[in-house]
Amino acid sequence: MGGGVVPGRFLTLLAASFGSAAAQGLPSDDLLHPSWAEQGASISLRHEFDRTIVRPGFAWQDSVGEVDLELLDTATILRDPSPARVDGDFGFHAAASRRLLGGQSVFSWSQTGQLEGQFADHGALGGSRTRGQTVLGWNRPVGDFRLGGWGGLLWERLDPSAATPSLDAGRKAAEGALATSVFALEGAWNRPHGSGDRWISAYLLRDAGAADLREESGAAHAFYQTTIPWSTEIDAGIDALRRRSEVLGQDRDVVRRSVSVTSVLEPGRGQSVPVRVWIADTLALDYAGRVPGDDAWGVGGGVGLSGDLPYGFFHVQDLSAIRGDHGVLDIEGGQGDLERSQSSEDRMVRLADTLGWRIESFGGFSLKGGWLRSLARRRHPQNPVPGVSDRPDQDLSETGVGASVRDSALARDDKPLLAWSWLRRDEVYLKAVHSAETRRREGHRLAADVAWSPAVDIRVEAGSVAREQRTRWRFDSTRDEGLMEWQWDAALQEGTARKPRARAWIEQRLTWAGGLIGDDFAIERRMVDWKVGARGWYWWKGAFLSPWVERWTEVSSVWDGTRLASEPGREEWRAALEGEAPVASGTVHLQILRVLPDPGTDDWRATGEARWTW
Amino acid sequence: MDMVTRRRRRALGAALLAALGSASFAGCDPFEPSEPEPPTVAGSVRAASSASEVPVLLGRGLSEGNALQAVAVVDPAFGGLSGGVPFSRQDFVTCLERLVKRGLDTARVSWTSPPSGASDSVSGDVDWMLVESGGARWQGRATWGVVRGESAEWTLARWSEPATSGNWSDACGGF
Repeated sequence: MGGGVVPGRFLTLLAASFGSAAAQGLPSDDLLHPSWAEQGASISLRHEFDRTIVRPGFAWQDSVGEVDLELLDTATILRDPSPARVDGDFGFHAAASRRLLGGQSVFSWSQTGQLEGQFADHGALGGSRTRGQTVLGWNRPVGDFRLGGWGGLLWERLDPSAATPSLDAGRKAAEGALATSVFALEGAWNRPHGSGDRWISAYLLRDAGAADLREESGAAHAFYQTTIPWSTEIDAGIDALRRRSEVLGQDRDVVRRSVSVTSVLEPGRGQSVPVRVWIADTLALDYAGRVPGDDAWGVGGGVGLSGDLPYGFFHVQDLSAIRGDHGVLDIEGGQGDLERSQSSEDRMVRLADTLGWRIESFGGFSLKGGWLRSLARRRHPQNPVPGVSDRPDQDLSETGVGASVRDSALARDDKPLLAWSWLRRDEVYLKAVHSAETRRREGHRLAADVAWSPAVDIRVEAGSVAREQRTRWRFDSTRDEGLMEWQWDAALQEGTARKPRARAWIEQRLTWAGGLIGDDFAIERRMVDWKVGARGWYWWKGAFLSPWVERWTEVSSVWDGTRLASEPGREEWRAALEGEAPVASGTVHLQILRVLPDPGTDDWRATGEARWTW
Repeated sequence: MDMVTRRRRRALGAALLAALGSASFAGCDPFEPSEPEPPTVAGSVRAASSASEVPVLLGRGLSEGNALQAVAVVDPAFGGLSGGVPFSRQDFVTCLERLVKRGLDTARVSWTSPPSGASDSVSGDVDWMLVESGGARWQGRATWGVVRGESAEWTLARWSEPATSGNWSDACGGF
């Protein structure tokens, strides 16, 4: 840690990283081709707090003759009335590819942009920027290899608002167009093996070296997997990026390296022992001084033991540890007083054990108990005498015990039937200037949840949570606090799970908070929250219309020395109409919500989405 | 598999179990925190007991130069957006610490209007103003989401601000 050496330009470009990405593809596949979840068109609208956000999107691919065409177009438009302005951003990516000279050629055009403060009352608020890349590439398979390259133009166009900060402190933001040529070489080797997958990929991207627009990166990835004698994966690599972009507000150098080995040993009798170790380091420099530089490394590992035991018992144990040093760097890659005071050494160790028992009778019954312990430490060795405004040396220790019972036939969603837990958390600040905040928090929590169907198409749900929590300050017992809370809720639903017709719900939460006198609570504040709601669905040929209403109230009482005196309560009404309809191969969804809070700051909110897929 | 190998594996498994199970019961507990020094400064960090207290306590931490107080109201699962660009809790905490170190004369943060929402999470606009001792001044508006955690304390979980110049990101020199 310390000075931090600025990586040379060439070193920045040459990188190797070993990841678990798709083995057979080239590193630039995601860069040259747009990617989306499904083909189609969509538009969504959201209106809240007088602000309106519209998001259109379009994804399409087709073949015309021997040419494969792909297109992805998205945008976000935000209208803010106070002060009046329109902001937005857009992304556009089109690619055309076809077979050529025994390989695959591709033309790719991608562009992103932002619009700021358009149509604003004050002209100086307005600004816009766009960044695009047009490239031509070609690749072909050679045995187990796939080799390729691409090149083209990267450009930016800026029309910044008057006060847009420049990457260079004290200068006015650059205005106009910037451009540079970029070219890249890449390759991948992949050999699926009977006992696992093995692959390596690498790429190198260079620009023309223009001072105001830089985009250079490199990566090489390798992955080794075997199942003999045990399942083992080795993952390692380096990634590097040098980027200067006024549009993205970045002038950074980043190099990351990492190696990890994961193995699952199977000693027999249904037991498995997962083992994982990793080491990684990062060097990041920000020449614009917007984000602190980073010179960090870490090493970690974990070992576990899990499997089935006789008579339906099962167990899971896990022990893990991490050690890391984190150095903060200034704009020059060095360290001043501030950077030294923020640099830290971190350690973490964690142990968790679980023992359970399950049987298939009684609708699938299971019982589970476990405990965990952990300790996280943070030290700032370069700042042995911190001030109030400095990062503290800190230990965070947690100890927890828990048990739960679950029955599939009576389960409410994924919640257990009955669960109890106890957690103790020590937050320790070591140095004298911060140690007054050293505290221990511990508490119990008991929860029960159940759901059942007393008749066809009728479902009843009920749940309750009770907990108590005590917080004690190490050096000042007058600050000790206690909290007790009890919450219950119930719901009744008519209709099937896929097509409900009516639902009503009620929820109450009581909270008591105050000081601690010895082990006793001295209640200073009591709060009662109620939530009551109802909703109906009208179904017609796969479409539905659903009105709902909910009322929330909160009443507080404060100890005035002789009694708990009531304070003015709060109340909020929400009423909404929601609908959804299938249209051709898509859906249209709309919700209009009216919120009436007690202080009178009522709000209309609306959300809508239309989506077509093909 | 021969009997000797089987016995070795059983012995290895038993040893691992014993090590895992008894690690924290040994004389030296590896999970116990260190002993703190006696305090020289009185404790002053407060947790927010209501949504309306969150901006007040954040502002107090900044103006009093108390990094712990400012950071205490930031939720562990905090996520932010500045001009559509996401930033992490670590970015935001580093930003708060920079502001604290810089020494602010004034740090005012308040809800534009009383926030609305359900009993466990509320959202709304917050107006803020920071004035440095040297006279530099920033002010703006952000949309906040605050949540009530398991310990019944309210924390700042979401921060969203437009890409205007002079926003919070600019005030602390970027996220």
